[in-house]
Amino acid sequence: MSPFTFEELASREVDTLYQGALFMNGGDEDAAEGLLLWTLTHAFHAFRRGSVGDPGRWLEARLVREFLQAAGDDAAEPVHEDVELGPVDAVAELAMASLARAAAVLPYRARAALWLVVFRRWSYADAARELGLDIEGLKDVLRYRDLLVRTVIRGATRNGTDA
Amino acid sequence: MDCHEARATLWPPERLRLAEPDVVRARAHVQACAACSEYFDQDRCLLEVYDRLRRTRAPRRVRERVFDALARERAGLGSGGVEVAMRSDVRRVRDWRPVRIAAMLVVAAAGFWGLSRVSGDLPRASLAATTGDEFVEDYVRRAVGEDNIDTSDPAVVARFLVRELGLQLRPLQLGGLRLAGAEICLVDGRRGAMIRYVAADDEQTVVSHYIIPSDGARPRRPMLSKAAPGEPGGPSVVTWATPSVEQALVGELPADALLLLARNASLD
Repeated sequence: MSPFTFEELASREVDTLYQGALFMNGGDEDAAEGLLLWTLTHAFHAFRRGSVGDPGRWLEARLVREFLQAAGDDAAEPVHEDVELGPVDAVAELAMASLARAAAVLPYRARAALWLVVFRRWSYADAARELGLDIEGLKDVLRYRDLLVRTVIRGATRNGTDA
Repeated sequence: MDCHEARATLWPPERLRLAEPDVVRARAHVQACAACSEYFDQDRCLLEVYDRLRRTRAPRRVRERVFDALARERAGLGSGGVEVAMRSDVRRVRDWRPVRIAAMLVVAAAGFWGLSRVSGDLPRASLAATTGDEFVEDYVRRAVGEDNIDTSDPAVVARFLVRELGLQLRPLQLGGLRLAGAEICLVDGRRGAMIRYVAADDEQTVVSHYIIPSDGARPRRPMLSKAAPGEPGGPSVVTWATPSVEQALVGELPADALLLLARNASLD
């Protein structure tokens, strides 16, 4: 039996999961909220059925899985190259919303991979397994990290020149 | 060793590693490779940004909706069945709004059903006859509000308990301890409060008083819990109950000292 309730777990993880949902949905708050609700209500029942190992990681995996399942065949397709970040004074002062909007230029699977590996610090092996990729496939999608960084910096630079 | 292999070997960079041959080779590669050095520098920058950002709380509205939904799932009023049926028809749900609207309609319908039971169209169910599940939603939903206060004023804690739990209680007066604050807690799916005390002469010594409203609680005297860990230095646990409240004292004090505190100060 778990020493804590699912509500306690959700309370601990909801902020991190929401940010992940926001990042993977390219800053779309409605979509992020829907993904989070969907993930947690389904996870509630799975949690009661059995052992989950590391509960935080387990929820992160479920969030990614639900996101990619919904993305379906489009998971690997680039979305679009141009995105408006809104006011960003500098990378150091980046808001989560801006970082999430920058992710909108990336394919869905790349967003999921970057969130797991770069932000949640999953190992390459664990992330590859969760994403249904081999290590080489994971390394390919992680190349999109450069595009993410360029998009963030472009947004910061644009705002700087506007000022 | 190429760049990809070096980066994969050293990922994540902040994790401690034994200096095994492949790790040594990878580090040597990174030191000598401008691209890999820049990669890890960017990674540090991104991680610093993310570490700051992840402390940002999800909007209150989102948290409320999450705990509303969980409360309904626990009470068996969840919309899981409807959502599963919809899911099979909507394979590519890039737009979650139709799903959310459907879930909201089910929630609204369940809420209307709950209200109609009280409004008189159906036989009125007295609160005493309910299973308590009807309260879970509101109890858990309130958990997203102000759930933690730091104060040494018993009156402030008493108001907190009235507001958050609907209980007219005052904090215990525990010898040698001073009040430090209170927070909401969830114990076995039931919402309660945890009142914090610290030793007057050692703020590292903390005692927590748990208060969990429980309709079915049978009164019993404070006793040392059998669940208290046997390890030296571990917290002791004393539990007792009054007719409507399960209570516990948990703290890193000798068990007999904790038991004496509880027996001298048990709530009625």
